[in-house]
Amino acid sequence: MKYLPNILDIKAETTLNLLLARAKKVKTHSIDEYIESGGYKALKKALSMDPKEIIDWVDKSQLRGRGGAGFPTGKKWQFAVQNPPPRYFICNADESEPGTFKDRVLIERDPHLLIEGMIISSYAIGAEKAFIYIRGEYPAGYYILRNAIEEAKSRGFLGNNILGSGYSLDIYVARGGGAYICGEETALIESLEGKRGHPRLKPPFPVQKGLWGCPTVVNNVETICNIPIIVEKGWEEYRYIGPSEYPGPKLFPVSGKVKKPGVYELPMNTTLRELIFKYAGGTLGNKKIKAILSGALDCFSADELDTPMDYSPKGFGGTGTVIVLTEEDNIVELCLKIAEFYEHESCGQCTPCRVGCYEQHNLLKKIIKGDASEKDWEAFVYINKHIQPTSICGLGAVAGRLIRQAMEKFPKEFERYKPTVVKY
Amino acid sequence: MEKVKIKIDGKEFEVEKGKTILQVALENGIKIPYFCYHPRLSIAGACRMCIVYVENYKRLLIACNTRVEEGLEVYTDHPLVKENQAYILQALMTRHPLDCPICDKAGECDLQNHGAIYGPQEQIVPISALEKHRDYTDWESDFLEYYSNRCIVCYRCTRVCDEVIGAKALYVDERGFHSNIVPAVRPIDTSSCEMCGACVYVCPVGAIISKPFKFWTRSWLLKSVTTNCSFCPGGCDIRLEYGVGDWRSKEKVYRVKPTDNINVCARAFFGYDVFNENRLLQPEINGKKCEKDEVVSEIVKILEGSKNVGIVLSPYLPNEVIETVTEIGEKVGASVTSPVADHLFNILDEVGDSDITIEDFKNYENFVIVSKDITSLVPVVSYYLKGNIYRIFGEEGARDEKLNPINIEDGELKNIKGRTLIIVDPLLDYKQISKVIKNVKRKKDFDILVVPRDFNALGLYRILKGKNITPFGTFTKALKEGYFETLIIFGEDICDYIGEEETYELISGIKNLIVSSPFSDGISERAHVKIPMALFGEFEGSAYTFMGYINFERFLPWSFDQKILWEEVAKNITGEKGMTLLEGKEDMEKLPGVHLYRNNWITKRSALLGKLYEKVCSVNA
Ligand SMILES: Cc1cc2nc3c(=O)[nH]c(=O)nc-3n(C[C@H](O)[C@H](O)[C@H](O)COP(=O)(O)O)c2cc1C
Ligand code: SF4
Ligand code: SF4
Ligand code: SF4
Ligand code: SF4
Ligand code: FES
Repeated sequence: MKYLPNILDIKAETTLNLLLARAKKVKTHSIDEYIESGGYKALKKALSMDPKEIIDWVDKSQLRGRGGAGFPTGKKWQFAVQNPPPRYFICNADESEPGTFKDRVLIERDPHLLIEGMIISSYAIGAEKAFIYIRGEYPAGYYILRNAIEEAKSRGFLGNNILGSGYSLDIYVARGGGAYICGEETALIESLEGKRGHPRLKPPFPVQKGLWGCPTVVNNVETICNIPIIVEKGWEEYRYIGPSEYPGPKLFPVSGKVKKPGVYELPMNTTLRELIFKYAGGTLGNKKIKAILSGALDCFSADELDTPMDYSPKGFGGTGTVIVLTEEDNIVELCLKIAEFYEHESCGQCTPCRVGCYEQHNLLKKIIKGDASEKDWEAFVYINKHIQPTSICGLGAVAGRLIRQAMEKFPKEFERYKPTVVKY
Repeated sequence: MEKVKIKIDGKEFEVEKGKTILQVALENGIKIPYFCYHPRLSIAGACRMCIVYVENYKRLLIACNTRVEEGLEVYTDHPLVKENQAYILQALMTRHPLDCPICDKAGECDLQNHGAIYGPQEQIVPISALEKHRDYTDWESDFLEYYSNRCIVCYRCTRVCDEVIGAKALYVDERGFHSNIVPAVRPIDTSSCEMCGACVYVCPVGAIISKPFKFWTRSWLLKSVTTNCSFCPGGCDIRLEYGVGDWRSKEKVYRVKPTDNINVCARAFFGYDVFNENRLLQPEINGKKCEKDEVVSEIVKILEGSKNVGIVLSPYLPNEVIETVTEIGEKVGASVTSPVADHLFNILDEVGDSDITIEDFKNYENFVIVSKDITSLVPVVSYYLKGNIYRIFGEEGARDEKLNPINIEDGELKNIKGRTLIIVDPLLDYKQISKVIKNVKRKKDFDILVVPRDFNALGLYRILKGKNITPFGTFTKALKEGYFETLIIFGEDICDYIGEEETYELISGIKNLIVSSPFSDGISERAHVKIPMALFGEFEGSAYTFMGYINFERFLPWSFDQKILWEEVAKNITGEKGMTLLEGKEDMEKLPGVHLYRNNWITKRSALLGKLYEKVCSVNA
């Protein structure tokens, strides 16, 4: 085997043994190991099925996208096949959200699960070219995927006439250049086309006009890894995994002040409390929890520990990323980090986000330094509130959200920075 | 065409399906403010200023990218619209220097205009003037200047350069708040940029400005008229802006800029200085300024008293003057010619004259260019091909169309399928191209368009066709032999074709030299009678251009009315001699070169274009 880079020793535990069945071991599983443990069986089954039937199964499985938006995958595929070929399939492996490292574990340790999922998905939507867009900061993953593709080709799982079925597929791997925004599916497509990573205006959606103007499906790594499971087990059996409304395994990357940070594969009826205390071993030094961040999206307080880790309106949602903060942590300073993140990652295309993220960060810096006047505070709240309503993409839509929630949930922490003495 | 009913601010409209809300609003006089939208450009949807509230979806949508559908209910004055427009203006102005007193765009700046009406009208984010700066990129040019802190990042400049001009000379550097418009090559010069000024024009604020115009005046102190350029057959619709001659501004042309159709090139945008230098604005007899009537009787006297009269017509004249002067020539039995009478007329006789305009380009699938440098002949023709055609044909939303030229040998022409336009440069070796043309003429899907170098060359051809026009080569031979007693020369085309010194030499022995020129030096310095010739904005009349048949108006108050003068001369002359055709078939010895910046005797005089030309020479060297 070719040289493969070392992979990170991230704890990966599972109660379901589906997505992490192999990846719980810290090693890159070769194609032989993958096949030995039952891999590529689903592909054979899929190729004997009608593509329409696979889409139907995925739809009935109620699989939702794991990239953050939770959009029903079957529906997305149905939209795509309404539009004439050529169609493209893209795996979004740009995983750049703070605290998120679930896709990385799958890519580095079980690349063939992803490849198998991609072949089945591409077959289902009738794509003959598929792409993996992996973030530039995952060099190991890049080489592992390249190697896995070669392995799959050598066994006839990829390339011309896959397993004699008459279906052909090529998978290409592209690397990002260090921009979070390139995880947004239309910015990703622009970037793949060799342009600046600017999200496109929607409509048209990628399923209508995506890569080079052709219908394109973009799915997250974890979403795709569910596909072989659905095909192998059948959608009925898949529906029995976890709660009936939100079936299927889910990965939860847990970090922050916990004893056992890592990726946990659990059903979605797990609560935040269970995830942190039962699986991640509780907080460091058994300190009291102050807040839980869902990546850079949402801020939950300790009162909300019974939130279910699902996609319901009151659920945890998002990518399932959990960052735990305890009583020692300063929420306002954390918000500064978040503000800095959004300022740095705003692509700059639209006015509300380009300027809003910049000024939000600046004003928060001023607030933390203790230099902020009443007017600065007003301006801060004003900016924070107005980034969302007119921005183009999901980044602008959430750039003020976590900070606003933190202000609502931890007003006292913010009070401390308010000017009490009028300066002359 | 399918129609749909929509409501804007409670008022019902029946509109064409497929239009955007913004288009409908603009057509119906409903005010929606915007920055990044431009009718000639693709939709960027970046500024978010054009938001409207759509009742059907209960949310804000941008008007520039939302297409109308049956039953759409749109509000432009919903509180959410007002609130967020104010925020966007606040965002744009927070670090904007607001240096309007020294900003060239003041008075015609969208940020100023919208700020006054839609802005919060107070400073919400307290930033002191000292903090009002952004990263700065110097474009290092004497022509274009970029002020990053004024830039509102609307991408109009990059889009116009990519999509309309096809130069792709600008791109966006960095990201987020630090986004900066940067030239592909720095210093930005003629190696990448056409210097067409389109980016200056479309910039809604004073972020890209024209350095030669900077600090000369204020936009509101100028008079502005829409007319067409007469520096080449492009006939671009442009705006001519001039001073009024009192305390506000001097009597001169301050700038030329395109209209929203964005047809423009460097010659018009930076070549306007020819309007102001060394102009001949009043007739002169033997070096003495005089009135029109005096000069008319002088010319009549000369013409009626001379034996052999020669007239050199210029393709830079409008149809009406050409017609009148031709009539004069016929009356006095003059030999009439023009430097374009050999090569251009020959080719047009051969392939036929067509009235294809740039608008018609969209009816063709293929373009075959038989020319070394179509850009320098008629810049807009090439800009249309590079930028526009592929947007007209390109599927909406597809941003990736590119012009992929291929080189073909003339034998391969027959393999081309579909409607094809052959664009022919008449300044190529005639024998070389006539073979190509003959092949092409037989195919029914093929049309030929001859692209002359000079402004109204087509008008000249159409008026003189079938008349006894003396070939230019024969005419100059007769001139050399001292045949002419009286010579009327229009313009300095003759210098372009046979050289300046050679021209002076040729005309030195003429007894009566009557020159009509826009300039007081050059040929007219050697004339006994000088009559002003008009540039655009200075004459009334028509011309055939690639924008179609254009009527020009005389706007500049200090200009001389050349048309009336020649009409009076014609009226006062009697005779029915008919034109004298000189025997001989001498072809012209050499053809003039073409150049984007110094294309003809008019633009050659522009100091600004001269500077650009030197740049090119140094780049090439
Ligand atoms: C700012 C931004 C960043 C995103 N980054 C990622 C990412 O890194 N990985 C990802 O899978 N999806 C990301 N998404 C979501 C994608 O746009 C898209 O919804 C997702 O790839 C669809 O896959 P799914 O349906 O399988 O979830 C991002 C979205 C936004 C708005
Ligand atoms: S919302 Fe932000 S990231 Fe998204 S397009 Fe606008 S500027 Fe770019
Ligand atoms: S002057 Fe014309 S070619 Fe040059 S950058 Fe501006 S738009 Fe582009
Ligand atoms: S330079 Fe002018 S046209 Fe270009 S992005 Fe900035 S504001 Fe817009
Ligand atoms: S292309 Fe021709 S007509 Fe148009 S601006 Fe340039 S010189 Fe004038
Ligand atoms: S004009 Fe519509 S977003 Fe700028």
